[in-house]
Amino acid sequence: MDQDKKDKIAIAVIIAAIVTVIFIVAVTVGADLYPKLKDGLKNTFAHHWIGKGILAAGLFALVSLFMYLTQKNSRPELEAPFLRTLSTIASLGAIVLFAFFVYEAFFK
Amino acid sequence: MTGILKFLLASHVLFGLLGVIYSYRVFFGLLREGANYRSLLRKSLWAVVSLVLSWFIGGYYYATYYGKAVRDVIKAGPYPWAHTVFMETKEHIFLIMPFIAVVVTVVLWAQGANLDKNPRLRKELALIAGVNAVLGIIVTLAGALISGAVR
Repeated sequence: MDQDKKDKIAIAVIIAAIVTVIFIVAVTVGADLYPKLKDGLKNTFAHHWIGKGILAAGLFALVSLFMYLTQKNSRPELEAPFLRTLSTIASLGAIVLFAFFVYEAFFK
Repeated sequence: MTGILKFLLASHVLFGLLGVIYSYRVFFGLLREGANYRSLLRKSLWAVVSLVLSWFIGGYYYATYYGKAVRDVIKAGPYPWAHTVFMETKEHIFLIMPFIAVVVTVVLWAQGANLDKNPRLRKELALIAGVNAVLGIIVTLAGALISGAVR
């Protein structure tokens, strides 16, 4: 496989991971704040956590494919800044999740 | 807890730890130039496999046993917040980790030895691998705390 295609795939999965992490944090907070969303996940997938995992995997695959197919020219110089964005989003996402569940345990 | 459930729980922990260890080794390996990128790619792939296996096994254990038998014990005990804070945080951070591991694997596959010519990319890749290792350590410690809350 030529380097151009490899670079496109790399960019595509990095962006997909960023979107997926944001989705996981958003659906986790959303499902706890809006019981109908949690019930919907439970009724569709037998358990809300399984539903989040399946939806996240599906979103990751779809966004990866979309981003790969829609790139005209590969931009390998974007891999480093996008990876930094992913590191930041993942770290912030973990902090948001922890803070939210502390709020649920002690202040709700 | 049946023998099978004990085996599943132990497997979940073992594969999770392997995922953390492989992520850490990739992080450490990427810190210097001239690394054996094929070896790092293999380790990264093992991180993905380990984390996904831990995901599935833990998910099965969680859905079939933890919710019914363990969560209610913790919530009725002296540390009810252990479930809300640590188990909920752990299980949702754990959702993120395999996707990060896939990214590290794909970038290692796509770039390989090119990473020596691109120190910034190599360092950013090391950073995200390190973030995944740290998330894994947090998840592991949370799991240990929950086990303590059950006892």
